[in-house]
Amino acid sequence: MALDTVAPGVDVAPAKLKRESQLALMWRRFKRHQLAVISLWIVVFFYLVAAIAEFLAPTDPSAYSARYTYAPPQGLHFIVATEGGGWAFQPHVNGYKTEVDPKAMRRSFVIDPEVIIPVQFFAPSKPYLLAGFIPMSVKFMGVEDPRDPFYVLGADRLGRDLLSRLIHGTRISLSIGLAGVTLSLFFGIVIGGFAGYYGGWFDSAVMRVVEFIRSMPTIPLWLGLAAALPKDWSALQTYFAITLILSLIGWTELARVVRGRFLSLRTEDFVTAAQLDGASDWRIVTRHMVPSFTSHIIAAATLAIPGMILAETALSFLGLGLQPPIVSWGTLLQEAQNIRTLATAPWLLTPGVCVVIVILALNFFGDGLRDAADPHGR
Amino acid sequence: MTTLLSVENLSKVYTLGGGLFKQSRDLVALNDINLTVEAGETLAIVGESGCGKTTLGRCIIKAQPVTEGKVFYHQEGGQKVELTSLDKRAIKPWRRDIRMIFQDPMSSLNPNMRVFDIVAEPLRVHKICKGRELEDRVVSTLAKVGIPADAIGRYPHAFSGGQRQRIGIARALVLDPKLVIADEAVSALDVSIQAQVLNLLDDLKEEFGLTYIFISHDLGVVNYIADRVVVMYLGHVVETSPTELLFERPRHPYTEMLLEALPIADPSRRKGRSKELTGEIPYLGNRPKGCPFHTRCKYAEDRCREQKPELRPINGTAQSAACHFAEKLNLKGAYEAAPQKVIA
Repeated sequence: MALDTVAPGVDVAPAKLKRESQLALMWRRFKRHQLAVISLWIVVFFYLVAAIAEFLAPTDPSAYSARYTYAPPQGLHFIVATEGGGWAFQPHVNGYKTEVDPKAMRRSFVIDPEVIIPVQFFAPSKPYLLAGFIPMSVKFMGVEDPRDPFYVLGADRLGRDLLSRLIHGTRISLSIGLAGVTLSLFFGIVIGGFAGYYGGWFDSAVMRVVEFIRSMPTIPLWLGLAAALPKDWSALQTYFAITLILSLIGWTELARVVRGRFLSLRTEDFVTAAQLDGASDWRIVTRHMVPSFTSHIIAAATLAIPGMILAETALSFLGLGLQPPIVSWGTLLQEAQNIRTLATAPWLLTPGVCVVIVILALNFFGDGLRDAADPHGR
Repeated sequence: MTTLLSVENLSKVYTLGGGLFKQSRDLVALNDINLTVEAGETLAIVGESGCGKTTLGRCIIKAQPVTEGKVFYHQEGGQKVELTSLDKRAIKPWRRDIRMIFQDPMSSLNPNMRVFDIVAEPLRVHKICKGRELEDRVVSTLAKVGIPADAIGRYPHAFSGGQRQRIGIARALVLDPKLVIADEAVSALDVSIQAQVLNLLDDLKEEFGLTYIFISHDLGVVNYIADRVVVMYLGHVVETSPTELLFERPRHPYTEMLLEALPIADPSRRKGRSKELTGEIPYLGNRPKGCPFHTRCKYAEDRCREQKPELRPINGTAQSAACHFAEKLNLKGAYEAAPQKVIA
């Protein structure tokens, strides 16, 4: 049978055909969603901070100073007044002076605008390893004399720099979200996929297990599991154990989504068509079925990351997740647990602000991605 | 003429329900079907919805496993291949020869794949060609069904129903098949588009030397395209006949009833006929004893209620019918003279 003849008037010139990859199309649709684009930059910013935490953090997150407990935020200033009454550009922070409250006889720090401590960008520092393997000896910013106080966002109970701790906490909190979701996604897709594609008793069994897990209240379950972790585990071990605990519940939601999609797609004519093409199960699943719900998976995954971050924060806040000296947003918020601390050092709540921003940004970003990945969308 | 495909004693039983506390029930969708498809013909399978015509098509192409019986594919050398006994891997080469066109052009094309990839998929699965050759073959097949080359980068949602059905046809034909099963291939389309697609199928049949199994509930369409008709009722074949004979003189009361319901455009030719099908199709899980049609048949006698008629050839004609009184009854056809061959 000849297939080389072509109806007249039909231009057969594959070279001229304009093609755009699915990704390019997705990006074009995504750009129309302004809030999502802004959120994307916010998310990228935070993950960048997490990636180069050592470079950005002015000091070691565990360096303490008994002199400056609960020192308030200095803020970063750029203009100084010169003697002649003019202005000059000089990045600096102000020093502290101590005041005694005559009623409560309580000592407290007050910013002293007279004392100017110059701040250097790309300041030389003690050698360190960026992300654990790149040797560096320059920090993003620092003060010339390391004995001078440098607390842009204030200090905590032990006189540790909150900014440095926040930056290092970003790394732990954001990576635990990613790692947990990756793990949940893997289990969810594999287990849910098998259940949905093959159905039958395996499907029923898996779904009963999912229902069982989901019927348990999460916080007590997490608490129980986290409490069961041996106290002598290293920071890294606890970190992975907590990730595992969080994804233990996370996978059920994704497995349900994936299974539901598989079930409904299995009976679609285009899947039957692929079967009749003689395509293998693997090809049908990966080429025909999964691409039809990548948008669902992307949305479910991005929307699950904030859940993970919140769960970690909540657990650590309650003192059962990550333990100090590991720095995460949750362990930082643990410091702000009692009302007295809050009254005297409200800046300890900044990690909470970060949590809110990141979670909102991830949600908007996920929404935008879901809309963009859907070829039926506008 | 040589036989291309034969179906022997094919039955399909669905088991319904059957849980922890429920008794399962059997639903006989196909009951002992025998038929042959000759190379080069267009065989239509007609019947009301629920009669098992789609199930039959799907069983032949092995989209569903059969309960009993055999389907043979006759190779060019005359060897027979029993498709029903082959497993997934073993049947793959034969999937090139037997292809399917689906009813709903909206759901039969993957919304996430470009037209090019949809039509190229069978070629890739069978590793027939790649690169430039693959591209050429896809483009030329699409050109044959009337889809221009500049449309191949688009997604299915950018096409109309008729165009989508053409893409579905291209997907079926790109493997250069012998037999195409068209399951209600035009019933989801507008009447004007139906005619276009039917003409396209007819043209392609000659160009590619195809054989069609054309599953439809629309006797007008069947009259237009089919050489031979198989009439099904409740999972049984009740009549097989060359198309013209069927429309002139049906041999089964059910066929007569279907023909009576056929709309006729010319009012002067509508001569006091009841236009609707009467009675309900009995529930498949509760089929009547005796002739399956006796509950709706106006000629039914006691014998019909007791004894099930076998499908048998009618003497002196090319027709077969499963009716005790096939020779005696003088059933009305749709046309007095030779059937008109033009619709739309």
